[in-house]
Amino acid sequence: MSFVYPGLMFFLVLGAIPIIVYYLMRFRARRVSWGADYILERALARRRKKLYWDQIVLLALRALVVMALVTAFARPLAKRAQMQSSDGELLRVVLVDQSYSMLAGRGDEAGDKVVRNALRELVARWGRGEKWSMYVLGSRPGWVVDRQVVQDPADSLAVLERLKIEETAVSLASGLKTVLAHEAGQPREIYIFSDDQATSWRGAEAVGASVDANTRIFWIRPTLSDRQNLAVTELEAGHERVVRGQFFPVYARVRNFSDESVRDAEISFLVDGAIVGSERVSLPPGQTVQVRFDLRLKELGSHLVTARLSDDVLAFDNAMSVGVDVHESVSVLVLRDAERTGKFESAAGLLELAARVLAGDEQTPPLQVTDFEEPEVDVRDLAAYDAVVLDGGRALTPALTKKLQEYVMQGGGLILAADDAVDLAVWRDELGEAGLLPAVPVSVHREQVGGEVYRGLSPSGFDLPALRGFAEQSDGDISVVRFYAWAAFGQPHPDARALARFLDGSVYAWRLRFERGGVLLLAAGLNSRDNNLLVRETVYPFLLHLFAEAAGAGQYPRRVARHEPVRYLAAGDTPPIAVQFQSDGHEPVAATLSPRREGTLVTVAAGGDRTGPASLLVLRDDAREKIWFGVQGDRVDSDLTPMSTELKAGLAERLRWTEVTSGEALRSALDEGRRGDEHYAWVMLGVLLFGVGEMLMGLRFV
Amino acid sequence: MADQDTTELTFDSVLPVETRDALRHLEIFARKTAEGLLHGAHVSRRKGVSTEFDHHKQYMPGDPIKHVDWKVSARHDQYYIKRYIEDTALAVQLVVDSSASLKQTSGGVSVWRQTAHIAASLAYLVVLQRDSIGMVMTNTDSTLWLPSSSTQAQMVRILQALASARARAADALDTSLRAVLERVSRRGIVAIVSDLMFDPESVRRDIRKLQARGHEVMVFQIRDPDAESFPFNRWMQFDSLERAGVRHRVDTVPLKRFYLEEYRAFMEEWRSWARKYDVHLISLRSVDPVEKALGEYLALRAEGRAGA
Repeated sequence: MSFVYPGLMFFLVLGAIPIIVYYLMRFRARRVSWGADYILERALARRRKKLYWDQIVLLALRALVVMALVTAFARPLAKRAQMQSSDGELLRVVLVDQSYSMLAGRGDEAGDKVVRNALRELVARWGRGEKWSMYVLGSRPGWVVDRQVVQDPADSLAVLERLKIEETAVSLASGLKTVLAHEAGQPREIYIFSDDQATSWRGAEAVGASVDANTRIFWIRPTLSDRQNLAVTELEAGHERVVRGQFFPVYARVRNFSDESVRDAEISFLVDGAIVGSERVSLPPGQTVQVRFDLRLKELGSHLVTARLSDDVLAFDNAMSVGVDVHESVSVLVLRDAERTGKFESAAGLLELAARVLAGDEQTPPLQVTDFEEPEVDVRDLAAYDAVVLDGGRALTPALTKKLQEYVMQGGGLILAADDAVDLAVWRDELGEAGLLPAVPVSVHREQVGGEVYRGLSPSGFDLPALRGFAEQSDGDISVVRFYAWAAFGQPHPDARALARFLDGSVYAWRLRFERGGVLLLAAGLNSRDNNLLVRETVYPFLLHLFAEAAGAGQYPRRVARHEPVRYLAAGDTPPIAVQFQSDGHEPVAATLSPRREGTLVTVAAGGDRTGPASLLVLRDDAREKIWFGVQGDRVDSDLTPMSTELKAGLAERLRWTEVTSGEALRSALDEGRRGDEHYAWVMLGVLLFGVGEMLMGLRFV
Repeated sequence: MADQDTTELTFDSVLPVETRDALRHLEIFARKTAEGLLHGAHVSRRKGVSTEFDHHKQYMPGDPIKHVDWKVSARHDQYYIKRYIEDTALAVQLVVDSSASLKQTSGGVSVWRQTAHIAASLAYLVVLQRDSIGMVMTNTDSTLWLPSSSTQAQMVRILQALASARARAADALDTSLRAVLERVSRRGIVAIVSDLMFDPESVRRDIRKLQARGHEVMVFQIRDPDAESFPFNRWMQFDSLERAGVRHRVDTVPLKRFYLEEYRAFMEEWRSWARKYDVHLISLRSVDPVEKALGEYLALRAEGRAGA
């Protein structure tokens, strides 16, 4: 026999209460001096045996009443109702959806809470000896419990405590197929704990053909009164290496995953947890909007920039972060042709002017320009600069090429400015041979300065977050810049990327990134020689962004995908002694340290597995610093649109499931399903009979 | 229920003034013939010469010749002798049970108090009629014997004895009755006052012997209300009043019915036996007024209807 609440059977010991009360009353007998003991003894002598048996029967009846009551509360089930399997037990199979959409809902109505409570309640009512399995749909779906016999309900509950919501989408169709195939043909009860998300149930049309008569299915589905869900799908910093005091844009992409329009949702931008500004967005269903926020950071070091939406029904996907490093400036070395002595004959003249303009009232200009005309260059000298500009007129020797290659491989940013004096043949030979050309320059075109023929930059041709503002003309109209000499490129490097284009669509700036270090190849010079670059005020921020991009090549990304390795070069005189990596919701783990010539490479191969902030705590003998990263995953489970009513009806018909929305409803459904199979009425009848028997026995003495 | 010990009596409380006043108009008559030294109001069993004629009896050898009624003998040609009714003083012997079971108390009144009250009342009535009364009071520890006397001093002695007596030890009523059998040769009334809570066989046997000796026996049974109703409904420990160390721990709920059945059967046995052997059994509760119960009984007795 089994019971709905088998745990209550431990209370059968309460049957001893009448016996305990009997002896208690006996020991607490009231004393009285008695003269009529002759009558008393006569009564006792004649009825002693009868009294003895009366007491025994009374006690037995009372104990039976209590025990029958306990049994009634435990609600015994008929054996036939247990759908006996070959080994005599009903197999209970749990299918749990652990995708993050289960977090949808507010407060105690959150799906995960509802499911956990219902699951706990369900598992807690299984008694010793019951058999169960649990299939968890997460990032790696699988059986967490496989035909396990319950020894102690606390152990079963402990298994539930280990369940964790994961940042993943799941396929209930696949999970359900697996579960239905588990011990098929045996008497089973299958409990599906999942929401009704259409994306999760995609492909479930074919499920259910194999459900047999011995299988009962319960679908525990949390209700969602509100399905309006916005999510931050991406957060991008214009640069991850920024210059102190200089504005840089941050772009957050927000998507409306619901089938209703959302108006005036607030998105806040935070730096190191403090809100620095907010914007409002309105979005039609299914649409994505990009929100720009200009940031200016004044403190050096690593910072965490976060974009966060105001709370909606699914808070999990409302925030995203990125790490940025603030530096004092971008130091630039201009390798100048010694013959170019005019103020604007080399790039140095223009860049120094740009530095002064950009500095404004700041004492330290954002660009630190060094003009270098010596024939011999030491790599150690180069390594001191964030970017190196190779002027078109600079004679390129194999030795210089080798040094530049070495500089780039150590994380330097090389800018190749193909001005009107460039010797393309030498560049192709030397730089091409060294693998430093993002694209092969094939020719240089020269026009009359101030003439009708020139090239302007295309506002729609920028493929760099930092330059996106020029595309929107919010940072100025860069198209007014005119180039009267420009290079044309042939075959680009497979990994090269066109960052900016001319108005005719041809590429102005190519970028080639290595693990660390990179090359920017510009189709025109940065000098004003022969006025091949008509300078306008908007070109200075443009140039700063280009140089910051070049300088950023020396820094490992501070925005990583989930499970993407996290890397950081810990430079400096004192190497780190230990580095700990901590990602959102996880305990810190030790990072791997690899000494390099330019510093210590810190690696966390596994990366972060959850969207959110992450950090490296770098411990040195004399200091510690925290380096922030933003782990960004795809919003694969944010769409809360419910499955179609046709699909739901079809599944309900094929699976013959009982759909409930809470643990209480599940309990009621289970009780309802068993009501006809319970011995409840018989036990209550027993209670009644024993009770009446006890009363009759008592009446005999009256 | 022995909830309060009221067995302590004083001389005045044994027979209060109000009881005496209530008893003053009552008279106790011998229902059977009595023997006495003094002339009195009671019918004597002895037929004398100077008293009222009763009947004739055929002469039997040994009869006194002086009682032959010659006239009647001449008329019937057979000898007849005259029989006369002779008045005589009533001799009453009180037999008082002073066993410890009489300490049973209900409602503040002990069985012993009522026992003493009855005994004193009877003594008062008898002495008031100038009849003689004696008393024997026995338990297993002691026996008190007061020879018969009709003086006021006897009354005082009886009251003092009752007031100073302590109900204790086990029952020994049969001992008292045997003392009466041994010491009292003159026929009269033997009044037994007891709760009768003992095995009645030997007592009944002695009562029969007394009757055989020509005594009229009346038994005053004092009932304790609690012993009669057994008002318990829980576990109780009954400590025997008569036998030290004897106790019964019982659940009274199932026992009650059986106890009451036994009690009623016991009482019915006494009543049946009394009816059968013409013994007056006067049963009254310890809380009943003595003068009223005694008055009713004596009235019925005077009408010849009193009995068990």
